[in-house]
Amino acid sequence: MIAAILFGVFAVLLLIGAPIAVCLGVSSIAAIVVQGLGKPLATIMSSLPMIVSASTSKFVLLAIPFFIFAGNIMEKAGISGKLIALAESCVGHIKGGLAMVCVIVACFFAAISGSGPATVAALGVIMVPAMIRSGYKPAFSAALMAASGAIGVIIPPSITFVVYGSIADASIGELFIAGMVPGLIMGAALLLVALIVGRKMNLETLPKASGQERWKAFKDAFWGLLMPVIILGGIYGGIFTPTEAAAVSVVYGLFVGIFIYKKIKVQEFYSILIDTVSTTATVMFITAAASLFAYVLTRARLDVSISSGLEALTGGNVIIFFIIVNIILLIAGCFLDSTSALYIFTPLFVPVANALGIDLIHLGVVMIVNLAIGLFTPPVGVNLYVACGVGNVNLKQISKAVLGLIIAALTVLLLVTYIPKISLLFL
Amino acid sequence: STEANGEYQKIELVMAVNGTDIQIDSLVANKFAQLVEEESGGSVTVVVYPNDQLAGGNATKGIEMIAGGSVDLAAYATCTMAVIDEQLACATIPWIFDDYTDAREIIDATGGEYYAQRLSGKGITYLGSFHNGFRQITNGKKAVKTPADVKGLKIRVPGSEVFMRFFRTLGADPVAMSWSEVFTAIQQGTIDGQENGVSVTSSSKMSEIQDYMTLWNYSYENDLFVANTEIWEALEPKTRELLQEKATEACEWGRDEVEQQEVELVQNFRDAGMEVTELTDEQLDEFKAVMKDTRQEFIKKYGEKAQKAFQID
Amino acid sequence: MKFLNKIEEIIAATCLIVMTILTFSNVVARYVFSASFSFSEEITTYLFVLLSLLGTAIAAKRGAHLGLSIITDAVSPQVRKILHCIGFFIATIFCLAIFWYGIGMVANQRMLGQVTAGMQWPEWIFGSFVPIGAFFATIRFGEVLIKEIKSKPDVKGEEEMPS
Ligand code: NA
Ligand code: NA
Repeated sequence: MIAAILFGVFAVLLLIGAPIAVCLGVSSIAAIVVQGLGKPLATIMSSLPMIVSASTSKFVLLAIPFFIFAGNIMEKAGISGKLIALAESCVGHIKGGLAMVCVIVACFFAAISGSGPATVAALGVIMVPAMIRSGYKPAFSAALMAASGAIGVIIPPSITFVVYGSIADASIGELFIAGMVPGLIMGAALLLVALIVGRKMNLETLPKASGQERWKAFKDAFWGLLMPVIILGGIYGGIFTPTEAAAVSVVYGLFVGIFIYKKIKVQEFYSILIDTVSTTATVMFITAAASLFAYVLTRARLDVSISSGLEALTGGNVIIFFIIVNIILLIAGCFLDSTSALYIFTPLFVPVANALGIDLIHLGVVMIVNLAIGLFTPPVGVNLYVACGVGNVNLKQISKAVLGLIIAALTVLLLVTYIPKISLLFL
Repeated sequence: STEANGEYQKIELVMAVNGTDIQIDSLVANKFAQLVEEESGGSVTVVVYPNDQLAGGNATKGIEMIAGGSVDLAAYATCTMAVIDEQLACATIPWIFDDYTDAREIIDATGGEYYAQRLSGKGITYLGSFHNGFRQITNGKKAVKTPADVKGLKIRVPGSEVFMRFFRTLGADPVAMSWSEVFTAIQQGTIDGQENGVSVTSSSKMSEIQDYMTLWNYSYENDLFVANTEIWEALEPKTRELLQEKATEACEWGRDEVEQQEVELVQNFRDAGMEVTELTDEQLDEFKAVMKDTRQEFIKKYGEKAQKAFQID
Repeated sequence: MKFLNKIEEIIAATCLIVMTILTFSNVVARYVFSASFSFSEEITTYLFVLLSLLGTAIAAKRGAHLGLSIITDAVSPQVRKILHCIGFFIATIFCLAIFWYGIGMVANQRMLGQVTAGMQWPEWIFGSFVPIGAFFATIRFGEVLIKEIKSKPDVKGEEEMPS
């Protein structure tokens, strides 16, 4: 009954086009009001503001506003433009070259950021306009950025792995190593799709730049190129944490924008601030509502009945177990944020995996790849929302454009699931 | 005694804890749920939610939920519960218990009553307590044997002032950092170490990235097993009796479990290549000497009643 | 009146600036001066709550909260207008619920005498960020709803285009 209300109201609201956060939040409240969860309504509803507060006051999520902020600053300061010019001078003569750059840069950035939407926000303002200019359709450019951003949680450092490791009692260090190769394979698969899709679009190529032109572009982009150097150096040199790195990149961007390029004035700064707040909030509002949804799911024990029902089907078979894990998580990825999904499903899967003799590191990688894919599957995929903002496209357009990328990612998921060696190669 | 089965009211209670499935608060809660279900023949059931799952992973909100009654039962560490009454953290004053036996005796004699009385003013009923564990220090730089060894170390501590003050007094650089970032921060060398109970140190995989651990029992952390008073008093007396009895039993079991588990976990740390230092009484005295004034300040801050209840001298 | 229209923008912008400064200075304090702030994380995360909810209000005003437009694109302008109105109405109600129960949460925090874990400040000061933020979100979604009701069905374009 409660499941019917929860998912039913969600589906109806989704179809009438209500904001996603409202679909999640109001379907949760409807389920609470009808079912009651064994408490007076006022008592159970008192949890609502607490969950909103708890889910939006997580320190690691600060990477989202900070990287969005930094991305906006880089754009207004002209840093992005110079980096694009450099990328164009290097690969502009190759068909689909900028798509390549987009994916490769996302893989690099993944070594800085552990957050999907933050990766999209920071790189999107640079890469999406560049791809559009090279002939890719806006919707596909944004979709590729959304999908590439998901690599950020697979390649270490990744808070998602830390969360999984502490719930599942698995080595976090080994998880980090195990995530590397699947992350890179995911990048390669996305790139392949971008190149195939690109062949059907009318991609323009620029004349090949001369060595001199490239050198000039490099010099122009110097201050922009210094940013990843500072950030990576700071993280791996033990000066700041990945979350703090996001704040450092804001300060650096402002420094360059105000004192070196002298492009950011008070008025621009104000609009940067408000744009940042608005984009951040669209993600955080969904995060808060998704936490509420997760609350109802766990409080009504729906998570247990769903997975115990499905796990009864495994019959001690590893292949079937993984099929079920993947199905549950892919569906969950359409409703929940990745942290909630981990808290809900890890304790349910781990005992079964142990009984079946499955390596918990392998299970962790499978789960995280699943949740990474969830970041760019509609309707609830925070990467998509950030990318929509950056590429000025709507949810319907990006949902269509992202389909091919999802298929590629699912193929990678299958490989990672059934060839444990991919994850366990360096362990 | 299964004959009494039919006499218990049919009720499902919700219990929230902060730790993961394998941490002591979850273990005690699960044990309690199992005991209650067995004894009541399945009439009284307790559903346990680990990881503060119902409160978005946020312990402070978890405490608001038990106080407000959207959760029926809970177990939280005293330094977490201190957000509703700072006096609850009084047993975390450095070196007030020598060992676990000492802690058990004093808490069962007078400390528990003190907790019960403080909590009753907040609409929360105290049912019992178990060790969260003595807090120990780990770091990646050197074996800590003297106060001088701690000097300059960047140690992650929970935000609370007791811990900050303690490490500042020792000349260390206490860092208030979000727990979720600690693993990578230690791995990259952003901070040198952390301090926590043996159980958390183990479940957070510190032995993978830290070379040194010192067992100095510097602060005792208690887990309080509590119920929302309004809900508690609305229960049938017989059910209440059963729950109280089983809570006490689960807490006792939890204490034994922690004491036993820590021996095993410390051996695991050693097997993983960690250098574990156990301080001698003389070595400990050096630390206590440095901490003397600060410790007195804390004792004064918590007041005479607390001092009496926990037999602090 | 113009100020009232921008009040949540100004507060949210201030939040973002303070959060950035605190996080950055904490890095400097820890690395350069070996003395990190104990209050930085606490204030920053609480401000993040306020920023998220005020930002929700700002994004509502800008039409930046995305929904799926499969059906709304396919139906007649009149039906589309009705669907939009329903969507904004329940959005307003949702924010109103957060506001209403948020006030209850703050009242309970005061009654409990709750303090924050780190700085030991009264929790209700930070707790009030939830109803304050939700208040603005309610108002802005409500305004969008009224605007939608008053609008002519045929002039509606792509509702979910971010501005
Ligand atoms: Na990463
Ligand atoms: Na999704």
